[in-house]
Amino acid sequence: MSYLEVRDVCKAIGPDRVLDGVRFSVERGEVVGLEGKNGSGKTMAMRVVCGLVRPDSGEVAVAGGVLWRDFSFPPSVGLLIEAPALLGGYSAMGNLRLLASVKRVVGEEDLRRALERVGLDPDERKHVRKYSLGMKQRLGLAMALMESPDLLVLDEPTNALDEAGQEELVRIVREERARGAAIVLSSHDAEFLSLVCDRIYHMSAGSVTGEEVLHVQSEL
Amino acid sequence: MMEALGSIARRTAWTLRAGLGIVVLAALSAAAIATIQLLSLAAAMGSVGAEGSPTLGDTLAFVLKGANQPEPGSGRVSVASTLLPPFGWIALVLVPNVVVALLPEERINELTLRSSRVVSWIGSCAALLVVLVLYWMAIILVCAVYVASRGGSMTFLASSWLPDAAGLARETLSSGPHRVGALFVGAVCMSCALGLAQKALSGLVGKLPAFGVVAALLSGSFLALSPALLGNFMMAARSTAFMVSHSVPAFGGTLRAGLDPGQGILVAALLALVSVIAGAAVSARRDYLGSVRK
Repeated sequence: MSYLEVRDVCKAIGPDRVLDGVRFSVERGEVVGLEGKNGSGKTMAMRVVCGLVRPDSGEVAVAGGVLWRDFSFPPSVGLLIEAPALLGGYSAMGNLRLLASVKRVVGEEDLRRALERVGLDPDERKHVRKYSLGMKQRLGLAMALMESPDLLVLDEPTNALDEAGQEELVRIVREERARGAAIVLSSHDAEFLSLVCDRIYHMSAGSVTGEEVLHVQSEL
Repeated sequence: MMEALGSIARRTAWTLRAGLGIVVLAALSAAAIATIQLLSLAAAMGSVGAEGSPTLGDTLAFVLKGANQPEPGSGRVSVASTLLPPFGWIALVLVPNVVVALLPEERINELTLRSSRVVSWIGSCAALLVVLVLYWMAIILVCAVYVASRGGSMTFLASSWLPDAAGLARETLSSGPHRVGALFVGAVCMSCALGLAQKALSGLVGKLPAFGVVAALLSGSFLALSPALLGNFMMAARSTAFMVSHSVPAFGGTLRAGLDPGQGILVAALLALVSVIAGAAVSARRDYLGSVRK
C-alpha cells in the first residue's frame, strides 16, 4: 500500500464539478507532480490531500489511515498552497517560532536550519510585510519544511522565485525525497517538473488524464 | 484528554501572540472609552451637586448607563432620541465585536493542519474569551484608578445621587440600594457570548456580515426594551439594578419592568454554549477553499 492514495475523489463547488474521479498514489521517497492548465483541479486535489477540503465521494488514505475517518489531517504534513499565510508584523524567525509553538516538535536550531535551507537569514529582524513576493514564497517553503514532514504538498512552489531560487528549490526537493518524504507538487513549469518528479499525472477538467514515468536526475 | 487540553492551550497562546496588536488596541480603546465616560461622570456630579466621592459601583453604572426605556404606548423611542443614541455605551459594547472580527482565526492552513479542526476552533474561542475578559478588566481597572484617585470606596453599591447624575428615569427607579456587581458581570458575560456567536456566524456567512448582524443587534438595543435585543441586558438604565421589577402605569400606557441581570447571565451562558457547539460543528465540516469561490 502506498503512503498516500487518492481513490476516486469527486468534489463539486456549487454547480461546478471540480474533481471527477481523481486517482493517484505516492510512495515514501517519491516525488509526484500534478500538471495541467489553470482550473484543471490541481490545487483542489492538493487541498483534498491535506484534509482542507472534504470530498463528496471517494477517499484519501495516508500513513495507513483514512482522512475524515481516522484523523482530521494527515499526521505529518508540510504544506505550501497559494500564498503562504504569514503574519506581517513578525520577522521570518518570529513566524516560524509562532507556528512551531503549536506542535512543539522542533527547536530553535531546526527553525534556523529551515530558513537557511531556503536562503533566508534567521537573524534578519525585518518584518515579513516588507518582504518581496519571492522572499515570502521562500518563507512559506521554510514553514512547510521545518518539521521534516512525512508528506510534503507544494502547490506552484516556483511562483515568484528567481532563477537561483528555483535551483535551490530543485536541490531541496531532491534532499526531501532522499530523506524519505512523499512529495506532491504542481507547477506550470514543465522543465521544473521534469527535473524533480518521478511521476507526473496530467490533469484536465478535474480528472487525471494521463500518467508519465520519468527518469529523474537524482544528483544533489 | 491531557493532550487535547495541551493542544487547545497552545492554540490559544498562538492566537493571543499573533493578535497581540489587537489585544493592545482593545485595552487602549477600553481605557479611552472609560476615561471619557468618567470625565462625563465628574461633570454630572457637579451639576447635581453630588456630595462625597464616587464608588466603584457609581463609575461602572455610569459607564454602562445606556438609554432609558422608550415612552409608554408606542414602545419605541422618540425621533429625537433616535437621533441622539447613547454613543459612549454603543462604543463600549461594540469594541469587543470589532476585536472578534480582527483577531487572527483558524482559517490559516498551516496552523489548522497542526491540530484538529475542533481543537483549533475551541482554542480560538478560548483566546477570544481571554481578550474580551481583558477588555472588560481594563474598563474596571480605569474605573478603580479613578475611584481611588477621588478617595472613593471600592464597593459595588451605587450612591444615592447616581440616578440623578446618570439621568435615569425616575418613574421606574427602584428604591435601592442599587448594587451594580451583577449588572457588570452580566454585561461581561453577554459581551463574551455575543463575541462567540459572532465568531460562529462568521464561519457560515463571513466576518463582515457576522459583525454587521451583531453590531445591529447591539446598537439597536436602545430603540426598544426587550430581552430579545440582548444589548438591553448590558444597560444600567434598563436593569433591575436600578429599575423596579414590575411594570409601572404611566400616561399613555405602562412602563416595562427592568431586566434581571441573573436572567441575562443565563441567556448569555446558553448563547455561548450553542455558539461553541454550532461553531465546532461548522468547523468540523468546513472546506478551506482559499481563493476558490462558491
